[in-house]
Amino acid sequence: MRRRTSRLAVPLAAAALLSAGAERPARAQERYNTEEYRRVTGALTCQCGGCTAIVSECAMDRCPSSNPIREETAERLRAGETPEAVIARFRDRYGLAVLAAPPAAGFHLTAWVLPGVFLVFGGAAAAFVIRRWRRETPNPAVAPGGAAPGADGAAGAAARPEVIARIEREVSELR
Amino acid sequence: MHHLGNFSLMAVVVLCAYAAVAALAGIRRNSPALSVSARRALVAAAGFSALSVASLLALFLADDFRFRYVASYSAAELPFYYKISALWAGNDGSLLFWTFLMLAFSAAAVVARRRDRLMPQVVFTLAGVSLFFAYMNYWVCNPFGQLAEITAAGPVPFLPPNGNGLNPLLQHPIMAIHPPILYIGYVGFVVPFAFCIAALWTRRLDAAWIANTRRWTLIAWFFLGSGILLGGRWAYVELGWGGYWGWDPVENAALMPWLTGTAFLHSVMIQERKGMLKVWNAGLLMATYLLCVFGTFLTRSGIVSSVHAFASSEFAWRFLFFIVVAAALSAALLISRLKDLRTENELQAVVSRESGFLFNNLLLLAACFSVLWGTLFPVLSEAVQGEQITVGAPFFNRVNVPLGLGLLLMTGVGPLLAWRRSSADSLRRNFAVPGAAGLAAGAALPLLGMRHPYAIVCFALAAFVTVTITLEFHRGVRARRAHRGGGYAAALADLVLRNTRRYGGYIVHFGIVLLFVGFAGNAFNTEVIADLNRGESTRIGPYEVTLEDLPGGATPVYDWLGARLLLTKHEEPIGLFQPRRQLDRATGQATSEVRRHATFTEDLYLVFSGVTEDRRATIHVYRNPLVRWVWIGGLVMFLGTILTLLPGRRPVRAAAPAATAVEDRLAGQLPPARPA
Repeated sequence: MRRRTSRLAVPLAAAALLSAGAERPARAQERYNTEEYRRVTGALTCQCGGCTAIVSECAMDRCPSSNPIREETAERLRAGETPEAVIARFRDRYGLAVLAAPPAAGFHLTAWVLPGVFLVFGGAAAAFVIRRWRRETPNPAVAPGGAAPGADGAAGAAARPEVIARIEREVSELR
Repeated sequence: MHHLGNFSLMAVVVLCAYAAVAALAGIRRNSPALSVSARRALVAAAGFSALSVASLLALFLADDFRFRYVASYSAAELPFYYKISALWAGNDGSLLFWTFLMLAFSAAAVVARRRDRLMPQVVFTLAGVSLFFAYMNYWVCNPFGQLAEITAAGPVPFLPPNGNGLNPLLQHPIMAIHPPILYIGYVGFVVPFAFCIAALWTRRLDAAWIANTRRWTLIAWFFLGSGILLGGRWAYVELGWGGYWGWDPVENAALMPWLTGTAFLHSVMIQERKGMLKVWNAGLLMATYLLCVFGTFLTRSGIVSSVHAFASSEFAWRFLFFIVVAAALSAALLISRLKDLRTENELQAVVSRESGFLFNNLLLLAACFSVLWGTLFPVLSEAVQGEQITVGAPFFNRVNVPLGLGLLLMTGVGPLLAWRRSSADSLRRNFAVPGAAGLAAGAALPLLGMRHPYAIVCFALAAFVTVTITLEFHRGVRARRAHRGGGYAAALADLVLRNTRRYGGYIVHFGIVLLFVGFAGNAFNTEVIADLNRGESTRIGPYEVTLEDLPGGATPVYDWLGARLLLTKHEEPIGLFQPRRQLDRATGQATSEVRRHATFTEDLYLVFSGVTEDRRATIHVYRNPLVRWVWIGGLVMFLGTILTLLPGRRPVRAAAPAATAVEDRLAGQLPPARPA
């Protein structure tokens, strides 16, 4: 680590000196990179056939698919097209496979709906199981004669001798 | 050497078949001698599979390119450590390695628990599963096949001058350890699965089998999680797209059993304590193991396109057949034992930790289902609509982020709920401070300018869970000091070592919080792509990146071209960074070597994407906040799991008839015990 620091120290110092004495570096030719651009390139997938990467994430050098899609996206957005219109163009050209997520319509709507249905039905099943467990066995915390337990049930539970004995035993284990 | 490898593989097949038959005969005839013989055969099979792996390794190290597998994944100039990792670079070798790991795990389990009453059934299950993998390895994808040239006189052995080399993306230190760790996670679940089958088979359905396999389950879960995180780390530092998780089908394949395994590790506590959820737990464990096998099917079959997937192979349908048969047999066994799996205890209140675990399970399973559904949906769409579609990150993020936040919420809520029953008073008392911390964070962040709703919720929940965990430790320490006195640190150490499972679990939960903090950072990622001449710069936030030079060079393995970049922040130099492009000569594949300036608040991620036609360097700069917390969170989870695996000084009771009263008391559910 120290060796690396010392190796870097000389060029760093030189760079610092140069940058202090010189004019600010010239600005680069920055690519088109607006929020709309990121939205479009994040919604499309590479069509090179070798990967299924999202266009904004495709790291392939000179990718024959992602790079032209990026350039065309930038061009069209610069020309004033909306992100939705640009996405629709690519969809018309490549089919649904170019979209990074299925459209929320027709058969493909099931992709979006089913996880929610699973959650709802799962929640209902869990609620049913809990209710059944409670119905199947009487609550031992309820005092004989149907008297309600304490406001939180804790007093009733605490009053059971076996619970008190267990508390004592476990507290003594902690010591 | 290849004869030894092939013979050993054949011996594995024979020994696994013998172990399965002998175990079954031992069960039928009630013969301990046959059962012992079956167990020994399984251990011997593990030994032979090790020999087979060693033989293949020797072929790699000897650059014996007569063999198709060696020639496909290695080259003479490859460093020796990558010749070792090339063993699992392709389908045949990785399946051999998988079989070896599974048999090693199986042998360790049957030796360690050789006096267990379930052992004959366990050996039968382990041998049956191993037999399938060994059969596949010997007959369907044998890594010892030789290259041959077709001539008029028939096929003659062919020796190429060099191998094709290893995919340069796999030539990374993480890739040397990520697959074995992930595989250990996958195969490790075979042990609890076998015990589960054995318990159902013999109707010995108390919590003993769960207690006896708890460590095996935890080890498998731990390795699977570590493998997933290491894979993320590799993607981040090697692939050059600025992220660590792409919802690729193979990543999803590893995530699914981890999610169901996590659900099992939580719900199993209800069975241990209260004898409830027996069917659920058995089903979860079966699902976890079958998802592990399904994961390897997804990886190898090519039914869904993936950047990770091995080439599509002829054995896909055999794998599918095995999964379907294993699932059907497991389900049939479970259904046939439903009467024996009746719950032993009652649920006293809806608002209780038991319910909390149920809802935690629901969220984990919903997340698993959505990942499975999204992964398979392209196949379904093609079958139904005849049109190939992609289900990528936008789908998975939209569906899973709310579920993930729900899970984070339950991570904080669970410890605040008492076993059996939570009173309104105790809820108020327990939730007051953590709830206030969460609400304060949730209110303060928008005032500080944060606008991303999911990120605000995530940070608020992170504050809530962190305070919950801190209070759990603090209450425990306070109780210990009240009884034994002493300093805070000594009481804390004593507390944690007495109940490693509970407090190790809290540390794992804290690791999860840190992971989510890292995930939330994604909401604020920014990037810039610029084409730079020497001396030109581009800016991202307070950083300025200036191209100084474009050096190049060559090594025996690849040619490279770099971009020497000076990074400054608020005009102060930070350092010189040299991301580069490499062209692997053996494979002709170009890769990016990224460079990062990583801090606790953000990573500046520098990629040199290539040179434009007018000789400008294309530099891609990502500013990724909080990424480091993902890796730190993983490390904390690692430490927490290690602690959980240590034996606590206080034994955990199996199938306790009532809740642990001291824990109830610590959670404010019961009045303080009388002094002795």
